[in-house]
Amino acid sequence: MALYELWDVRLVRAARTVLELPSLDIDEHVITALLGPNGAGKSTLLDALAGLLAPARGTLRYAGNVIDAQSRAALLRRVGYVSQQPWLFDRSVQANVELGLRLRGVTTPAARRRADAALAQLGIETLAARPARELSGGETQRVALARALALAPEVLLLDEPFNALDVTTVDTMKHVLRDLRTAGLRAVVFATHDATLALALADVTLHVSDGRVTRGKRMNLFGGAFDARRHAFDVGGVMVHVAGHIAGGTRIQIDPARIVVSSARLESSLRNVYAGQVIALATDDDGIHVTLDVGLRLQALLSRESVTALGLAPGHAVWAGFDPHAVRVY
Amino acid sequence: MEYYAESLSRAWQLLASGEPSLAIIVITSVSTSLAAVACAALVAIPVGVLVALARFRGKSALRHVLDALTALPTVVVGLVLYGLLSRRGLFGEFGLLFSPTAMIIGQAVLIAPLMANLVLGAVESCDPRLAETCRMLGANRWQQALLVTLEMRRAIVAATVLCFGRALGEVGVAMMLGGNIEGHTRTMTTAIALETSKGEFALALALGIVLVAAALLVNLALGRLRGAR
Repeated sequence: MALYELWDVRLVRAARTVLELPSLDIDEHVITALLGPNGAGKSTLLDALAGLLAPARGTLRYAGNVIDAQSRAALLRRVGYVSQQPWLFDRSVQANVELGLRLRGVTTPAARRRADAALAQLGIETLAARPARELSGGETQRVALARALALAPEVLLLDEPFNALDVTTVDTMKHVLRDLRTAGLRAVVFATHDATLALALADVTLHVSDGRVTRGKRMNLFGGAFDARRHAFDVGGVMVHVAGHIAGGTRIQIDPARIVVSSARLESSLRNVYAGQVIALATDDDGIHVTLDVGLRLQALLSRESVTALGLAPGHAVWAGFDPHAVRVY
Repeated sequence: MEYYAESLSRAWQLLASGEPSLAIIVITSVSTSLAAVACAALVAIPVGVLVALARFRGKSALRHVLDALTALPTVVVGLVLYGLLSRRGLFGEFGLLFSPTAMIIGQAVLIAPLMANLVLGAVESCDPRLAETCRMLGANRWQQALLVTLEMRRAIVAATVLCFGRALGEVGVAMMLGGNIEGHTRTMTTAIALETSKGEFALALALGIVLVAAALLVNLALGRLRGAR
């Protein structure tokens, strides 16, 4: 179900049209990634979703209600927003995290309790007494997230949340984000320029570029669990061999261009080989996308010449194979 | 040159002796200036913050007026207030002329536009993320003004310190509204003017040294405030 519905929306900043959105839904109970290069308008869209920026044209609905000048302030109080370079006030970390609650009239002991819980959730309770201005970029990012979480928002909006973070912190944050989905939040929307992060964390990816937003195709993305004994990923009973140390991953993606399709079983070095059949063929600029059912619904990207040579058509029995290095684990 | 050296040596002696009349003059100067700064701050800080945050028609006109008032000659402020406070003036019945209160009013009127302007400039030039974060956290207009004031506290204190320096060093208002009455409204600046004209160069020089020391202290405080930002 759509939590946000945008209809014929135009977003303007400094007298320049940044985004034109004829129709866009952002679903409830999912993590949505806004993927696009810097300056594409991701932050502008987040500002509109937060209620910080009024559309110059069109309708924005939140939970079915039209957001207008009157209801925009109320929307702001229902979202938690962490901007790309968050501003922390010149006081302690604890006071920063409590601030939003105090502004909402929450009593001091209750605000303290909720701030403590938010800091603990992100594993940064040791920072509580530190002056906020002395924190590193990554710490600032996490304190700002704690400040947003302490408000128990319905929606969490994050602008490039992983920019200033080191690798270990990114891992912690990934877990936090996944946990958040089950923590009473109605939606999480984050902007990133990193396609890998979008794939790893988001259920839905929206591509933001050239003033437009398009829904991303999720090719060959599968959820499952790693089976350490067989060093393979178990996707609903189909085992996919992967390369390297990948404990803790919950999703895999298989590169469509590295899938080998043949009419007979090949004697080869490919570790993942499956029998199946062709479901559909679709042509685009890159080549021909061949959809295969091999227990998994796989998409292989082949050249026109290969498809013609093999005589592929829907219903044909084929073999599909790929190397463990064609699999990325998230 | 010998005259200068002689006077300077006598000035040091006067300062070292802790001459009570000299102490009274310094205390009068400092206390009236502090009171004037406090009165001006009550009005100028909220005005500066609110004008900086608000968007309204005539804002740029108001800024021009504030700029013009900042450059107001002290004798003109003294003259206008003299007219208002003198016996036949609008507030003549309160008998304030030639009292410390009149000097405090005059100095407050003189420095308030400067203080408002400094605060306004500081708030307008602060990071735009500050106001945005206030909104994100759900602050209403008044809460936002309070948060911005607290966040800009160093710049605001620096503005008040600078204004204290200006009040301490001005002579026009103190002379015209205070009247330079010994032990009552005689300040360092009016005393220097008087003693010099009387030929009491050493006393004037002693007060001059105190005034310069005060100016240095004010600047030192400003430097520390700016460094800590």
